Amino acid sequence: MNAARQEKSLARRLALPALGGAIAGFVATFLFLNLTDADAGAGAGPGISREIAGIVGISYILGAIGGCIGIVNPRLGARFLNVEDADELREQRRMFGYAFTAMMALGAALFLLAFVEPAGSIGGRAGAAAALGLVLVACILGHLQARHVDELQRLLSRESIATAFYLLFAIGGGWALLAHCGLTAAPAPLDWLTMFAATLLAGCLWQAGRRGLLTRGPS
Amino acid sequence: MRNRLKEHREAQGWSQGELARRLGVSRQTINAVETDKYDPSLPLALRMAKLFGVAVPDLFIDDWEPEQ
Repeated sequence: MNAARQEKSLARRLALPALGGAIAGFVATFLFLNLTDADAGAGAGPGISREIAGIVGISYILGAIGGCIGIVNPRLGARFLNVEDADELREQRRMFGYAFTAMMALGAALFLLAFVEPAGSIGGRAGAAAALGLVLVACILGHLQARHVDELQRLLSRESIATAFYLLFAIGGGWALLAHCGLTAAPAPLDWLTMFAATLLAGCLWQAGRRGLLTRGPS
Repeated sequence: MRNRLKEHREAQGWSQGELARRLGVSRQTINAVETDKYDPSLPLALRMAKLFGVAVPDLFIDDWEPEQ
């Protein structure tokens, strides 16, 4: 009885963030696709590679914005983030702060790269400098974050990276293999960058879900 | 692995947050151990046992028996 009630409460708890995420994702994707149409460079059309890169970048940015809202307002954040309560956000404010800012920087780097010429209007040198700067910021924040994680979070991080590697090996490797055999077009450099980001996100979700940590609720 | 962490914690009248603070880990870790989603490292298991004044096998239940 209690278990059934708790399950119902968890389903209700997950419904709001899922719906909010879906709406925000839809609106952001719609705006992005309009932006890429308007920004199509002289040499080429919008291209599916940059559209997917932009959408993955937006996913990172939206996730990071949601997390930052939770840090600024823990009571509100506890309603849609995967935490026990507002106190958990307060207790781990610094760790979450570094993590979400790094996530935002990575998402912004990928989003920016989707607008680099020839498909977009940002110059190659400027795009590379900005993206490398953002990746460097993410690396520094990740290093700072590592000082505030405990053994479970460290394990999840390692397992997520391992999962991301296997996914990249299967998806990117499989694609490259088929391309080498002349069966399909080779992945573009932007496709590889998108695959790095997407498989890392998928790895994190996979590992958290596998351990039942995506459906946490009040104990 | 099944464990009696929640039982011992409640006997002390501590919240998950209080136990996490005493052990120097996150509340997420305490919750994951109590709900059998995560088996702690040996150092953390030893610290938990020391904190409650019990032996590790009294805290973590392993049904494995060596073959005769």
